[in-house]
Amino acid sequence: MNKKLLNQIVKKLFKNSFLGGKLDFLTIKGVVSVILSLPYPYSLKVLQEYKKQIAIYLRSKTLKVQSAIELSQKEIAEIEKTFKQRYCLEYTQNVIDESLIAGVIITAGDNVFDTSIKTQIRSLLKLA
Amino acid sequence: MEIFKDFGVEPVLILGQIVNFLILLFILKKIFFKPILNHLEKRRKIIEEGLRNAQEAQKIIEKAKKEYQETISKAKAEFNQILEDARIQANKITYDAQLKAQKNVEAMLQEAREKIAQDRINLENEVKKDMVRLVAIAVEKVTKGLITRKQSEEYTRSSLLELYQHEQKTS
Repeated sequence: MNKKLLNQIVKKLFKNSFLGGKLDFLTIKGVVSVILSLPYPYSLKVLQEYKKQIAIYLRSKTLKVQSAIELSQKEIAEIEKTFKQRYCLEYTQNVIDESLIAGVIITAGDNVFDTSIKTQIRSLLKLA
Repeated sequence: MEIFKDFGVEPVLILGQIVNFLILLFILKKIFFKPILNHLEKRRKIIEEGLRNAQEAQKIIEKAKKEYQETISKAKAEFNQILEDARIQANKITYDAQLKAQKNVEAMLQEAREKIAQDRINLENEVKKDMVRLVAIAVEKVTKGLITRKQSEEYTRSSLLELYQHEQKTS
């Protein structure tokens, strides 16, 4: 299967994974079963590319909040209010990472806002 | 006249003999001597011509010999010149090859020296990076041990506040 044809197939399958402008889990499940019905090894190649597309989309539409301490629901809601609309994000991922020491790293699509102490220490050492 | 009679000489006979002789001479000259003389003359001319031809042939042979000698010496001289030129050329080629080989060796040595220097720089940079990484890890560990939970929470909240303010300014 050539790359052009593969991309065309994956693009079409990806388009069909949406429901109401959003990625729908059930629709994705249906698309995956269609992919698995293809003969091997085409099914594997298509599935890998489809997975990549989904991941890229989710990454661009996810607000990722990494913090050293657990944030309250109110704080998460405040962050979502500030960033989701502005950057057209749909999903939120909250991760607790104690190695940050203090502060947060907020990833809104391609934009990263980093106030963590860990990053600041590393920046200072690089400058030195 | 009596003297002639005493000796038995008859003048008429003598005259007649003289006339006979003259007539014979004339006849012989006309019939015998002339052709023979012509024939002898012809032979003489032929012999003379033959001798002349022989002389000319001799001259031609000598000229040819001379030319042959000249050609041989010319060819010898050319051969020697060609040999000498070939020797010079061979020496030049050998010298050029040696020079080229020497240059190649020098270039390779220079390249090796530059590579070693670059490798050293790369290694130093790698070591520096590792040092920075280790120092960063150490500082992080120390900082983590020094900061209390309350301080961490306060810092997180204040940094979030700054972020909100920044977003409001830029939106």
